[in-house]
Amino acid sequence: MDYERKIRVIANSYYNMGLEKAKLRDLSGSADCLKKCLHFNKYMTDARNLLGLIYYEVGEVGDALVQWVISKNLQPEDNRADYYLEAIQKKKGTMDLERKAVRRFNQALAYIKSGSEDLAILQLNKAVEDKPNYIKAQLLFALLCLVREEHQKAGKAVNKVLQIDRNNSKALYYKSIMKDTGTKIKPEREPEKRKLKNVLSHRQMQDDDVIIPPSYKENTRDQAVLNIMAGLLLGAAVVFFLVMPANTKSINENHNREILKYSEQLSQANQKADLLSQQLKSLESEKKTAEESLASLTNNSDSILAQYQAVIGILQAYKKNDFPSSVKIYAGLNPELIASADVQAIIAEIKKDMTQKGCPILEDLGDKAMKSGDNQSALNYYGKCIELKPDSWQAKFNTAVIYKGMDQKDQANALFSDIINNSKDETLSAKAKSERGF
Amino acid sequence: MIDFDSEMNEYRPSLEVDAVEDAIVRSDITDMNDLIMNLIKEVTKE
Repeated sequence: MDYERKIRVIANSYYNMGLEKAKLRDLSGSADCLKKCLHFNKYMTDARNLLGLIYYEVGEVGDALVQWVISKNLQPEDNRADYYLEAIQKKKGTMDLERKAVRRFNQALAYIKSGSEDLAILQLNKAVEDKPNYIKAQLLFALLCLVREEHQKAGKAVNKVLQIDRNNSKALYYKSIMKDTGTKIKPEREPEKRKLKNVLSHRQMQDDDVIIPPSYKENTRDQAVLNIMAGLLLGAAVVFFLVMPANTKSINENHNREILKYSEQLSQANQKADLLSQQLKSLESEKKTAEESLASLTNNSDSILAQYQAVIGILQAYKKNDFPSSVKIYAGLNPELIASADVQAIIAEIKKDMTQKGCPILEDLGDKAMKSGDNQSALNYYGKCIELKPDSWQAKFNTAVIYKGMDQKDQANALFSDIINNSKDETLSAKAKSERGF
Repeated sequence: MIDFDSEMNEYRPSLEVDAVEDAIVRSDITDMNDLIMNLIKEVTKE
């Protein structure tokens, strides 16, 4: 067997040993074997890649990258290191987290050397919180806790290291020391931790982390249809309960405003109609008054116009030398209704003539009327005669007889008494006494 | 009891990601085969 083959066999043996140890999670032992393997044969790509993987698992990402990059250089094709490098770079934020954790560890080392252990603990705490599998940070944190006699914290860190790397010599050493001091480390209860992890993550969120709620489920086709229908129903309900009442209210308000406007216009029209009606009534009343006034002037025998006509009739009768007709007309004349002074002057002349010659004719007319039973005309003629000549005793006697016949005894008695007392005609006085009942 | 100082001496800083390139350049990947080849070359020279 030549030396090259021997070397290969030895390298393979170390690789197999390292692989076995890695499978048993003896990472530090595996790393030692793999390093020896590579000392014998640097082209053992699998051994180098596995060594990088172990470095990565224990938090030494820089060392892992070195191994994978060298591996890639030694075997550019068909190399698993491609996958590892790609996986690290692909997940955004991972490299940042790794970089920060390493810096914190190195900073903690610097703090310890300068005597600032408190600051170192803070840095380490943060580093292991971000990267729990960072073995060197966990071990240094455990060491500081041991020195401070915080055995529980130290124990937890040591246990964590031993979970990752079962035969880590330092972890076993610290554990043995804690055993010597009688510290009992409470085992970490995995199920509870897992449960807690579901509730709340203590890890810092990265930029590309996506929170998916536990209740989230992909919608099936039926659910999608149901959701659409529910949305439509909800939309319809919103329209019916919110939009429609608002529209109805708006329409009603507009309608009411229009009704109010029309009511006001109607009210104004009614007021105008009432006003016109009142004006009509007033005008009708005025018309009636005017008509009555006109009738009083024209129609009646007692009207003013009739009096003027009577005057004209008297004058015409004079013109015809028909004195009896003029006397007859004069009997119906009422001079008081005539306002004209000129006509009154004419009437005064007529009256003077009538006083001188009219009474016999008037008495004759009265007698004729009395005989025909027209007492009213008879009274009129006798009255006119007495007016012209107050000592017309026969006319007075006849008037008294007519009043007595009309059962107007007071007027009749007054006239009889006047005749009895004042008349010089004894026959007529005797008749008057007789009529009077003396 | 732990001797803190001696214990601390065993801790070395981790390789920072930014220093990976330098580490690769400085890394010595010489294996047993290389050593033997060098020895053979030296022997044949003599």
